Amino acid sequence: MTRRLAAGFVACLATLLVGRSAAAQQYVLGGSATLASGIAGGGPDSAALERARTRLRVAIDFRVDEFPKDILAVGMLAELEPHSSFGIDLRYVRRLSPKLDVNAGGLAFFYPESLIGPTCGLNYHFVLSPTVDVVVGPELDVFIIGTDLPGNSVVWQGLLQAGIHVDL
Amino acid sequence: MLTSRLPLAFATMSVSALLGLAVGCKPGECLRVSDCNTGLMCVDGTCIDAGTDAHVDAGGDARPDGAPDARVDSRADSSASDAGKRPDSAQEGGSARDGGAHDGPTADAADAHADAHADAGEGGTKQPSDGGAADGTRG
Repeated sequence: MTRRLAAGFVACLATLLVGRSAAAQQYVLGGSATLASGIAGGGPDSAALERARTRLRVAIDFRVDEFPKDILAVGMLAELEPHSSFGIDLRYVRRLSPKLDVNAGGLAFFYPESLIGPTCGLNYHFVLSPTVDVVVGPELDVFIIGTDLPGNSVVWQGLLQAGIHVDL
Repeated sequence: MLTSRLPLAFATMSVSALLGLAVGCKPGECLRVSDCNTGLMCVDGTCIDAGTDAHVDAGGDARPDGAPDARVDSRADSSASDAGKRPDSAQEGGSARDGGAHDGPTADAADAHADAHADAGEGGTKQPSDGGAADGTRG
């Protein structure tokens, strides 16, 4: 009796430890790099419009192969000119069609000053190969919190971005 | 229905963003604090030196708040001021600020220009706060 109990316990333990995740559920990784620029406005003089800073975004996105339309993306942001700043963003991307997706999330710059706000965008994919797309699309960012905001103002920017996306 | 309208929205937003690329950044103005150089503050859309409260323009030179731009060529103004100080010019041509110096005799106008050039040569660029010829109150 004791031997049978011990054998059953070992069998259960072995099943738990050696058990593999379901083969149908796999994470699919993607990577992208885009350049963006556009217009920026808001601030203390809400009528002012300026050219937005040129921004480089390098991102990784994750999705589960069972739900290929739901994608989570994390990006590193670097504004290049006329002034530099660095930050990150986190977005939920929804694939509307094989060539079109929309995204929404938040972005935050933390150097040299902090700047946080929501973002949304739209991307059109020009398919070059089954794993490589050229991505073009507009994006709207609104910065509502941060030490980079003068006074109690809000700064927004509308960007047009273009780049490449690869399924890893 | 939604997907049929999306390309139109996409195109509209893209064109708007492209048009925005043509908008130039105005010098000396700021939307964000980091638009200004280190040590400056962004106040009312303008980069301001926090210590001296001096506006800073694209050229990087600072001048007191409210003071006129010293880089503006003040030759005509200073010559008029000089001419205006001459009794004969004041009588013949009226106020120097009204252009009396240029209306006066040729010799007076030429003298006034010569004075102005001499002033510039002695003191370099005239600063309004120096009390020089630019404000017509030569010491």
